[in-house]
Amino acid sequence: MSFMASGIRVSYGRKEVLHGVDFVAQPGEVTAIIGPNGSGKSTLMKALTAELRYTGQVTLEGDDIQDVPAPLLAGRRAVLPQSVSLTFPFTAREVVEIGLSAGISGDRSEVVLQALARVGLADHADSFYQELSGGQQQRVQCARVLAQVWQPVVNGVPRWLLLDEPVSSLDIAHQVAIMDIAAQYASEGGGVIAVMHDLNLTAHYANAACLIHQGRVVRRGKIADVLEPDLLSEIYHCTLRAVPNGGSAPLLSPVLS
Amino acid sequence: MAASDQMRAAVGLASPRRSKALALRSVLLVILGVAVVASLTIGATGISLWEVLWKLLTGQELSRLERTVLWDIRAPRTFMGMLVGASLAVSGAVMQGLFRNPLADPGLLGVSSGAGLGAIFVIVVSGAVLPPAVLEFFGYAMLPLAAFVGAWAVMIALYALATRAGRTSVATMLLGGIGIAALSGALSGIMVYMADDIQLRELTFWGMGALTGATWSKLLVAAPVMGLATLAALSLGQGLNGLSMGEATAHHIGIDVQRLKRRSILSVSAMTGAAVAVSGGIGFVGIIVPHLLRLAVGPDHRTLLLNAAIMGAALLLFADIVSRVIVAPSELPIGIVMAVIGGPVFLWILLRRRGVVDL
Ligand SMILES: Nc1ncnc2c1ncn2[C@@H]1O[C@H](COP(=O)(O)OP(=O)(O)O)[C@@H](O)[C@H]1O
Ligand SMILES: [Mg+2]
Repeated sequence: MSFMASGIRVSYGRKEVLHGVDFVAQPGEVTAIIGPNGSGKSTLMKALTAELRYTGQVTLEGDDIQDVPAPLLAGRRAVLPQSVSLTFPFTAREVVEIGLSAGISGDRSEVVLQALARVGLADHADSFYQELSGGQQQRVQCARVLAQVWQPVVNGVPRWLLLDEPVSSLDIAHQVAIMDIAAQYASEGGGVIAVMHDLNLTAHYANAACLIHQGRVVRRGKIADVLEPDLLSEIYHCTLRAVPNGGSAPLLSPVLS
Repeated sequence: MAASDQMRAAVGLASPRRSKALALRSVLLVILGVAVVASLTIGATGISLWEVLWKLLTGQELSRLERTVLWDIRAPRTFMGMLVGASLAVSGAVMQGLFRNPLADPGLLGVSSGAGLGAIFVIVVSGAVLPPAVLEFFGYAMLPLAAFVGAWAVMIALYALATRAGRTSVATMLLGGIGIAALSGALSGIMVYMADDIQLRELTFWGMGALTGATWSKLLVAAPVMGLATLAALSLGQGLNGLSMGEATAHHIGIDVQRLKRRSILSVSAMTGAAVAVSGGIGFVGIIVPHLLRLAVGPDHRTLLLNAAIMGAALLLFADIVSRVIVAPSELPIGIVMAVIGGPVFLWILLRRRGVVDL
């Protein structure tokens, strides 16, 4: 029972940007994908969602994702891309509904308003998506994704949230709110894979992590093994030090001159 | 939760605009009904609207003139007007969904020109090669078929030009469409140059767009093509909704994007091809109708497509009535009527969006 990728290689044109990446995520956990800008996090995410062509293998609960038809796949995992552009003047509610319409997920349209309420946008259900702020749009997309796989476990099979930088454009309160939703989803048995930038949010919410640098996995495993100040300082070209944080994982703070 | 509570919750949950769109459908159907009656009864020949209606309702015999005018002239013309209007409006709506741009339109992007090129090819070249008897027999099938092939080729070329890695470039789409329209226009010009006087006259009227030549035999092939393709297109609504968030997201939410694109391109080619084959160049239907509907009840393609079909049918019937009465007893080609109505509306759409959309 896991989301697994092995030997993933991806090229854009002649330029290879992932050089054989192995990755695994377990249901019941939040797995973070971290790494500097341009290291290949979004590209790995797009391989995990079969959005682009790759060599290697991606399996979901043992099924090669390329063999699962789109409607069935949509019932097993939902994907939040790093950015979404919407063409026509749909309302927030309609955007969430669109996410539900095609997949064979068994979820009912009742979850639309519940999902919007979860991300704090119950009052904006009938606002035009394009007239919401960037952060609000991001939360509508979170609601859409959440609604698509509303029950974390169906018939004993976990479902997955694949989130590419879910909180990057959000204010601090909503960063926490969205990460709380993700953590709760995992605690109820679902799987969460999230590309993260904020290392402290990652430390707080992720159970496991995969650190990518220049298209290769530098380290992956339990969160405490990956978030090592010396390793991260080197990869991010930024001196980080650990700040004790009571009983929980230490915070990472940049050393500013 | 009690069953009644659940019912109430479910009603409250439906998107408010969806119920408005369903209500609008009934209104449009009534308007279309009026248009059909008007189209059957108004025209150059002076048969009285009320007399004919009364005779029809009371089951009396119509006079021979009345019967000829009604069944052999106006009925096929009305039927054709409805199908052409529905086809063009739905073509526009599907193209806009496919290209993710409200300015996409079969006329604007050269799809009609491609269809026209196919049709002109048949009119001019096949006339030179095939004996008249054969032409008579196959002409009605060949024209729509050639137009379909032309439209299809343009759609494929357009999509390949405008879309890269699942994203559509508006500028490339528009400029590509203009380029393709110019190219097929030039090729058509060459063939027009080769045409003889009779063909030339035929081509001129055909090119201005007209429902005048409607006969049942002309409709024999084109009507089923338009009808079936429009029906097929109506099922694309859910997929096109998903596509409005891009190809990747459409795939993520469970849409078979390749199949959706194939079906969209095929149905637009068939609808536009057959419509152009029987009626020539009638512009703007595909851009005005969906735009007004989106303004009124929102962009949900599940209701938009059927509403567009009904409204397109009604709009074309009214335009045709205008074309019949405005210079009676002569007729103004309907393509000109639509351009006079459609041009300003199109510019208005463009101006409204100028601040919002950056090409
Ligand atoms: N569509 C594309 N075409 C060409 N190169 C790309 C494309 N998308 C990403 N890249 C390159 O691939 C590398 C990884 O990108 P990405 O996975 O988006 O990084 P990130 O870790 O910031 O999400 C970068 O060097 C980027 O320039
Ligand atoms: Mg990225």
